[in-house]
Formats: sequence, C-alpha cells, structure tokens
Amino acid sequence: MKVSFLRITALVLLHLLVFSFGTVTTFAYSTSGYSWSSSPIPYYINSAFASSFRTAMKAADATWDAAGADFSFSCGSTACTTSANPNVWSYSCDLEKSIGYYNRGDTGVLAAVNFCAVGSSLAEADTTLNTYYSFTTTGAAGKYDVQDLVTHEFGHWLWLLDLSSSGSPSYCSSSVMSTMCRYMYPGQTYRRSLRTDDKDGIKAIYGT
Amino acid sequence: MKSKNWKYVLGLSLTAFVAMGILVAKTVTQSGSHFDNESIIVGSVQSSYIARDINLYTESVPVIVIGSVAKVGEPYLRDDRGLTSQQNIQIRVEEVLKGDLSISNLSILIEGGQTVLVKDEQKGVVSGDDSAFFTIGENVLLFLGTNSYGDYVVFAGPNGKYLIDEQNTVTSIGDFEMPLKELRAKINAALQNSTNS
Repeated sequence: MKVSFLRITALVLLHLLVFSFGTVTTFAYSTSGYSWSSSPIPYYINSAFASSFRTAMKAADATWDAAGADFSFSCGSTACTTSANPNVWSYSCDLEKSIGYYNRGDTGVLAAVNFCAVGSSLAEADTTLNTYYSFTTTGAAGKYDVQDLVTHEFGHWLWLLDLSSSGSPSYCSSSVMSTMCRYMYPGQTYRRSLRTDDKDGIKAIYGT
Repeated sequence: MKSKNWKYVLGLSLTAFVAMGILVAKTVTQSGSHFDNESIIVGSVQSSYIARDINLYTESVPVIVIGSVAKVGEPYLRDDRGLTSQQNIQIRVEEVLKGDLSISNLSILIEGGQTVLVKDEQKGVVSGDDSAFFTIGENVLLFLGTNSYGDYVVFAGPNGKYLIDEQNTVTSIGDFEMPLKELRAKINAALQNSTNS
C-alpha cells in the first residue's frame, strides 16, 4: 500500500514536470521568413519629432539591442535624425530606414510599417506614426505611448509578426502581453518591455 | 509486476512529452517568401491598431452600417501615397446605425491583395496582406473611419469588420463572437452615452 502511494505520487510529479516543461517552452511568436542579412542596421528618426519622442524611440531600439540576439540597430547619423520628408513611405524603396509620421486619418491605425525586400532579405523598413491620434512619452491617459508603440514597430523591422492576428488570436490576453501584441489602449505601456516570447522570436531569426 | 508499472509510467510520460512537443511546434508559425529571389517585394503592415472596444469604436467612427458585400474590386497599384496594393469594396447598405441615414451604397478602400510592380528600375510584387478582407455576399456590420483623403476605410483593419451568420451571430477576428442583438445593444448604448455627454 505504501509502495503504491509512492508510485502514484511519483507518477503525478513526473507528469507535472512534463506538463510544466511543455508550458514554459511554448513559443508565442510568429515570423515572416524575412530578415536582415547584416547587423547593425542604421536607422533615422525624423528631426521634426519632439526631443522626448526621439529619446523614447531610441529607448525602444535599445530594448531590442539588449534582447540577447545577434542583431542590433544603430543610429544612421550622430543625432539619429533625418530632416527628410516625414512621410517616409512616400519615397518607397530608397533603402533608408526611417521613423516618420503621416496623418492617415481616423482609421484606427496608430502606425504602419512598410518594407522592401529582395528575396527573403530585407532592404528597407519604414514606420509612420499616424498623427491623427495623440501620442505621449509618459503613458498619460487618453494618449498613446510612443515607446510602447515604437518598441512594437522595431519588432516588425526585425521581422516578427503581430500576435493576435488570425493565426494566433489567443496570445494577446490580459495574462499574456507580449510586445508583439498589436492592440493598443490609450495610456498602455506594457509593450515597452520584451517578454520571453519576444526575445525567443528575435533569437530564432538572428541567433544568439 | 514492478517492472511493468515503471514501463507504463515511462510510456505514458513519453506520450505526454511527444504530445507537448507537437503542441509547442504548432504554436510557431513560419512561412517563407512566396516570390522569386530576383524581384523586389514591397509590403505593408498596418501595425498597431486601437484595441477593440465597442464604446470607443462607436464614439470614434463617423459611420456604422449593416449590409452585404456587393462587389470586391481587383487589386491595383497605388504609388501616389507610397507604394501600396489597394482594393475597392462595394457594400449594399441595409441599415445605418450611425451616420447619414440615406446611405444605400458605400465604397470602401482597403490595402490588400497583390499587384505587379513595374516602375522605373523596380520590378516585383506589391503586397497588402493586413486588412479586413471581403467576399461577395457576406453579411457584415462595419465600423467605418475615413482616411485623410476622405475614403471610407474599415476602422482598425480587421477589428472593424463583423461577419453576421444566418443565426444572427456576429463573429470577428480574435475569437470575437456575440449575438447581433447584443452587439446592437452595445452600440446603441454607446451612441446614447455620446449623445448625453
């Protein structure tokens, strides 16, 4: 009887161990097959953005640089800025990687990423913030946080895809909040920090 | 007997492990490029959407309609606003929940489909894979915003499109499912709130 009890306990513990291993190693990221063929990737921020916005964007870059993958971004110029047309996608496939802005109207789209690739190698990525909406660097209520947003955008530049698109709708819940979740509430800041899933994603593409 | 039990334990554990492995593998979605290596591929991702909130959506958009998809246009290349692939969708409006009550037909612009790119030295494919997509005959409830050119667009991409089935159940991206009656009630309550405030 005593032996049987021990066996049952061992069995339960063993299955708990197997189950927890499976749970911990579940990857919640999605990739596109595109990637940069070299690193670091130089980028520019439009100089018309407020200084606090540019600082927040550089913090977003630093977050991915510290993810532990064999990839990094770098400023394309000393100040990281460009004074080119802020609607960065209006001159598509110029090979300059930039963050700009554009009034896309009341579309519910806070930012868009456009890219150019040859085969599976990325040649350009641009992000435009939709200035129809109000942004903040402090997570202020009623506005959208720049660092939260741009950390997500840089994830696209790496070429991680959105979570909670049709293939993986369940990953962006209140309990699972990855940087690559695509939805944004005013005042939201949780996507400023990468989750293990996000880090696993970039490591899967670029190695460690 | 003892040996048999441990074989059972080992076998069951191995099965559980393999099952978990399959589950893990299934959660990783990877797809390669569909295009040849010599062409340029131009794509767009409408990256961050305003999170789905029926109150917020109802207050934000100028138009909410129920109707059916009458026509889905062929994708065409647009390069005056940056390179994009776009489609025009015609909606036969059956009911206007918000906006001009006399609307009977609507044209919606989406970034979608694939078009061939031949411009200057560039050759390749322009692709828009990140939109609300439509099929002729679908019954839909739509939250519609307007872009800066005045075109109607589905608000927050696929989040603004709600498919109505024959049982009047409404579904949308992200496992959204709700009886049409309940969604109408939420929209009406939000409209009432915005009128009162």
